[in-house]
Amino acid sequence: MNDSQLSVDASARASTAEIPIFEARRISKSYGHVEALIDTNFEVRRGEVVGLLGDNGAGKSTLIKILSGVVQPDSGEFFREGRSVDISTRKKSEEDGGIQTIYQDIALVKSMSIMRNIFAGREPTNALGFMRVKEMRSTAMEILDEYVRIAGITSPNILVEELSGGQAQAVAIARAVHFKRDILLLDEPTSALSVRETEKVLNIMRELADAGVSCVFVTHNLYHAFRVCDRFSILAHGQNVRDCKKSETSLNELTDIIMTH
Amino acid sequence: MSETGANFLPGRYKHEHDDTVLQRLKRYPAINIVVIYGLFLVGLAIWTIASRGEFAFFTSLNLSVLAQQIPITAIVAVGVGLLMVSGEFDISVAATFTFAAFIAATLLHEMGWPLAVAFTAGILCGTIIGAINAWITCWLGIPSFIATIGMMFFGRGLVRWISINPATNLPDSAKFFPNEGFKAALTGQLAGPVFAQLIWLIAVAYAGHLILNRHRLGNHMFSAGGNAEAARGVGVRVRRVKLLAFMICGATAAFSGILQATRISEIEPSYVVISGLELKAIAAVVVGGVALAGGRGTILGMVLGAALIDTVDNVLVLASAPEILFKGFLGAIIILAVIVNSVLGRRQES
Repeated sequence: MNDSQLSVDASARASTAEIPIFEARRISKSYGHVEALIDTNFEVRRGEVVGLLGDNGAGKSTLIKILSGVVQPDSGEFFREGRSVDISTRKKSEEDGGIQTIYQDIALVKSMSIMRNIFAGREPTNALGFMRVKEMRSTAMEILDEYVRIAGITSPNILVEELSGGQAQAVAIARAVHFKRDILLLDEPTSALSVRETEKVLNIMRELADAGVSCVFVTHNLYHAFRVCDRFSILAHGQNVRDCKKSETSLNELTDIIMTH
Repeated sequence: MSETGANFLPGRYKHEHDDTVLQRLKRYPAINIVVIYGLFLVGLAIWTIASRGEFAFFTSLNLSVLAQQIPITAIVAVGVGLLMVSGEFDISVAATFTFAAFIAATLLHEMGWPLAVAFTAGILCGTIIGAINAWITCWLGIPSFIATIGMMFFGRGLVRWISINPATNLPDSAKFFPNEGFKAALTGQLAGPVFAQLIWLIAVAYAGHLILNRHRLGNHMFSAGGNAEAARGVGVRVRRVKLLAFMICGATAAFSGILQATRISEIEPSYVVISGLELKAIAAVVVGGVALAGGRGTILGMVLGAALIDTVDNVLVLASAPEILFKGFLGAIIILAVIVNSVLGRRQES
């Protein structure tokens, strides 16, 4: 499937009311002579897990940075539910684009408690800037109980550094979900986790998607991607090389596509 | 998928009392210093008894000396501590302390300004020095350790300049005689060994506690110091947070300098060097459990840390130990803190 077919598909869907929750169209970005992305398209529909796949240097990280608002594309457009949006800063990406990026290492401040982390940058305060600590505590507890039900964490005062990698990842996800983002962009969320913890994080993604929160799963690990994704978007050399549903492909085919490009 | 939550991981934190001692200490880092200072006082009590009262620590005279000295150091330590929580150092506090007092004294006596204006100008002066430190550190990207060492020497120059006596062409101490009401309000004796500066320390400490634990700014300080990149990621304006922290640090140093000048009715230019206040403040906050790299600390720890440092100083004087011993002790405390910090940090990595 090439670029023009993708755009045609997109407009066809728009007319049949199945508008993607978020869409990036014809994104290009060069670093000097290196073309990191060339007319790349990317879309996310409500309640799906999309695997953003590709080998090193395929343009995945550039696309993530653009989607999270930390890098500006040279050209291209973004649409949220069909309406054009500006995601040129981290804040705009979150608030206008509805995208919450969870980076592997820097999602949380390890020396702070779970509660302080959950509300960092968005503390509920009174007019003088004093935090509503009671409200924060009960909301934090609610978040921990409700969204990912992280067993064992009984107090929002636990420091993040005391958590395992998977627990911390779950807290970061819970925070993003609580603040009502449509889309979670997870950059290699499983690469530092044990097998057991990986299972849990994959399950959380699946649960979230079933509850209507879309996830973009960026990974090198095709097994992980194939377990949890509804759709795959594969990049190579900065271009879309394949965009397909899980039912239309197989693990072997995905491997082949990435290997041969 | 129902298993997702129920046992996300085997319950390591079912109950808080299951936590190891180390974990609890990290969550409440002031416990260390409470224990250390408590044991130290017990040790001094034993020493006093063993010496049959020869060792004059628990005398009303000595306790009142301490009660007047500790708040001066502790107020500076609260400012330095808040800044360190935010991830930066200030080595220039002794210079700020002295310069602000000189400004207040000069404006009051030589320029004939009203006391309230002279006082405010002194505090403002410290705040501006803090803002300049912040600008060099956060906007020009110079590490605060270096930037504020530069400011320390610049501040020493300013003190020399403002304290020059035209008649002798040598630096001279400045007299500071504010009116009696002001003096009583800042440093008056209330009852026994309780002086007004203790009330000011409590006020500053409480304000620091409100900032750190009840205000948005505190949350931003912890995140900026703990992991600046993650803080930026959630929309914390790290430079602005550090600017405020530097300004608070400058203001507390200036306030403390004016307290000191009020207490002894003069301010000496040599104080910038002989006080060792910058090292005392840093030693105080690190023994008080503030992480050198930022992101961790409590007000109680900073205040008790300052109390411990001043008490040790006092005990060494009582024991007629040479002055150099105290400086050595400060140095050793800081080096020890660096070691502990990096060992803990390395353990964190693995």
